[in-house]
Amino acid sequence: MISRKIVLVGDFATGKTSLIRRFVDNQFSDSYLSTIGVKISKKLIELEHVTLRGMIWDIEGGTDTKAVNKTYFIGAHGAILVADGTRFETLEHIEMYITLLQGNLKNIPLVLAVNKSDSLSEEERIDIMKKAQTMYGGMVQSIFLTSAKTGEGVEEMFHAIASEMAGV
Amino acid sequence: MIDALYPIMGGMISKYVSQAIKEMMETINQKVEQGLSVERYKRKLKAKLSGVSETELLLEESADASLLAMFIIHKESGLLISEAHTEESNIGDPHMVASMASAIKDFINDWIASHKAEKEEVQILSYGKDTLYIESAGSVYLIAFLDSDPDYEMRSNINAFFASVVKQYADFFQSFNGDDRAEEVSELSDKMYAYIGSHSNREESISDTKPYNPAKWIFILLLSALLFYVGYQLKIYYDMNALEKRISRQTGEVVTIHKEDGSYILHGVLKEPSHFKSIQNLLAKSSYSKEIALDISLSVEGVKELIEAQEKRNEAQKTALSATYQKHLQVLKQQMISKLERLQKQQASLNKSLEAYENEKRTIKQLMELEKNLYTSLDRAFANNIYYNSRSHSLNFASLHLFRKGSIEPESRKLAIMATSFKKYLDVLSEYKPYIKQILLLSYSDTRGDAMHNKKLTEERAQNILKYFSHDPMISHSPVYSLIKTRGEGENNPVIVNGVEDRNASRRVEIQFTLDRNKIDTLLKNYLEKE
Repeated sequence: MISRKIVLVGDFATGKTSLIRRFVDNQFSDSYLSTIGVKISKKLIELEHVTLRGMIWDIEGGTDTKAVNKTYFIGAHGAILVADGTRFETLEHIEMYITLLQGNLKNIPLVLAVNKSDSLSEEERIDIMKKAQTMYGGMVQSIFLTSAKTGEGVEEMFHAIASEMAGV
Repeated sequence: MIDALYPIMGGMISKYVSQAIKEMMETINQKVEQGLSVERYKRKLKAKLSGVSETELLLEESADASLLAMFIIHKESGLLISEAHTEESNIGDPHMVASMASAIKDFINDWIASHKAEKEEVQILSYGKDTLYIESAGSVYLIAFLDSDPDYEMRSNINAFFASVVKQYADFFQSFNGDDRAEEVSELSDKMYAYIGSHSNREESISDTKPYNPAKWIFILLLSALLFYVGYQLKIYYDMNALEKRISRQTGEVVTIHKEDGSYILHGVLKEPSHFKSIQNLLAKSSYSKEIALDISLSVEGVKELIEAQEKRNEAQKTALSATYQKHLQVLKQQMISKLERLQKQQASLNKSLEAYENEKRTIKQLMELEKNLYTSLDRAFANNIYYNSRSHSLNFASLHLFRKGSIEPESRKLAIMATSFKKYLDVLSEYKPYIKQILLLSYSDTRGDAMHNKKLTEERAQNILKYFSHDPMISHSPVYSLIKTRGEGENNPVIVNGVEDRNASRRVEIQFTLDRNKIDTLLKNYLEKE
C-alpha cells in the first residue's frame, strides 16, 4: 500500500480538527495537539485504481502571537489549507501558509477548504467562494466549500487531494 | 574504528558510550540507596535462596530490559518504512505510532535547538515503564521499543544492528516514496523479527544458567499453597457476599448465606412468593448452585398474597372458560342453523325431484292404462245403454232406424235420441282428447242395390248426420268435435243373423274412435329412456 503524508494548516479555530474527525478511521487523542502542536490521524482512501494510506497531520493553527511549527510540514505529499468561511481574515491568511509551504516543499498539491459552510447564507456562500476563487484560484488545485457539521464537501475534498497525491 | 565501520551511526554511538556507562552506574547507585525499601529485602531473600550475591542481582536487574518492537521511520514524512514486534507488545496501529513518534521527536529536537546552543538529538523517550530508544541516521529514524531503559550492552547491541541496517539500505531509505510493497520493506521486517527473536533467546539462555536450589522451590510451593487456600476462601466469601447482594438487588428480599456443618445454607423469609423462583434462577446461574441449600420460608403476608393471587387466577380462568364456552356454543349454533338450512334446501330439491318423478310415474301409468281406463269409463258411462257395444266400445244405432229405405235424410226425432248418447260418448272421449286420433261417424247400407250407389248413399247419410249435429251446441262445442270424421261404408260389413241378413240392422250408423297409438308409444318411450 502507498502511504502519503497530508498536512492541514490554517488559522486557529478554522475547524481543521473537526474536518479530520469527520473523515478519518483512526486518530490519537486531541490532547497531543495541544501538547506538541500536531495530531496524527489515519484514513485509507479508496481511489479508482489504488488504495492510499493517508497519514493526516493536523497542525495546530497559527495565531497572531504564535507561528506554525514548520518542522511538521517537512516531507508532506499534499496540503489542505483551511479557512473559516465566517471569518474573512482567515481566508486572507491563507496566502501566508501557501508561501510557508512553497518555501519548504516543492510542487506539492494544495487544496483550499472554506469551512463552516453550514453557518453561511446562500448569498454569503456565493460571495466567499467568488473571493476565494479570485484570491487563490491560480495557486491551489481545488477550492471546496466544507462543513464538518453537515459533512458537505469533506469526502470530496479529501478524495481530491488523495487523487492529486497518488501521482506525486 | 567505530567511525570507520559505521560512517552514519558512528558519531552518535561513541557519544553515547560514555553516557550509557554513566546512566548504568546511576541506576545501580539508586538501587543501593533503596536500603529500607521492600525491594531490598526481596533481593536479600533472593540472594540467600539462590546463593547469588546481592551485587550480582543488582547488575542483573539493571540489564533486564526486553525488546518489544522495532520501527524504521522516514524522517521527513514520518511515514513508517518497516516494523517488527513481539506478540506481547501492545502497539495498536504501527503507522499512527510511527508518525506520532516522529512528530514527538521533531518537537523535542526543535525545543532542544531553541534552548541549547549545541545541536543535540533526543535519544530516549520514556513514558511509565515503556521506553523508546531512538536513533536518527540519514533519512530515517530507527526506534527500539523496550519495557524499561536499556543498559549499555543492550544499546550497543541495538546500535550495531541499526548501523548494519542503515549501511545496507541507505539508498532505499533515501528514495523511499511511501510504497510499502517494495521488496526491501519485507526484508527489513524479516531482519528486525530475527533480531528481536535472537534477543529474546539470549535472555532465556541467561536465566537458564541460574543454579537449582530445592529449598527455594519447596518454600515457594508451600507459600503458593497457603496463598492459594487463603485466596480461595476469600473468593468464596466474596462470591457469597456478591450473591446475597445480587439477590437483594434483583428481588428486594433480604437473604443471608451461612456455613453450617460444612455446608452453605441460604436463609430468608420472602415477602413476595414469586421471588422464590428468581432466587432459584440466580442460584442456578452461580457457580455454587450445588453447594448451597435453600432454607426459605414465606411471610404471612406472602402466603396471603399467594392465596389471593391463586384465587384471582382461578376466577380469571373461570371467566375465560365461560367466555370460551359461550363462544363455542354460538359457533356451534350457527353451524347447526347453516346445516339445517342446507338440509332443508336439499329436502326441497329432493321433494321437487320426487314430485317430478311421481308425476312421470303417474303419467307413465296413465299412458299404460289409458286404453283400459278409457274403456272402463265408457263401460261405466254406458252401462245400461242399448246403443253401446261393450266389446268394440263403440255406439251402434242400428236399432234406431235413422233412415228410411233409399233416403239420405235422417229422422229428426230419432236424431234427438241419438244426440243424447252421442253427446255422452264425446264427453267421455274429451277426457282423453290428447290421445284420441279420430272419432269416426260411420254409415252402412244393406246389400241390396248397386254397391257404388250404396257407398255414395252412406257417405251422404253420414255427412247429413254430422251436419245436423253441427247445429247442436252441446256437440259442436265438444273439445273433441274437431276430431269427428264421417265415412260411408256402403254395403260393407252387413249384419247377418242365422245366415240371413238383417237388412234393417245393416242399414245403420256407428260411432267409434281410434287412439293415437304412435303418440302414446312415443311418449312412453321418451319417459322410459329418461328414467
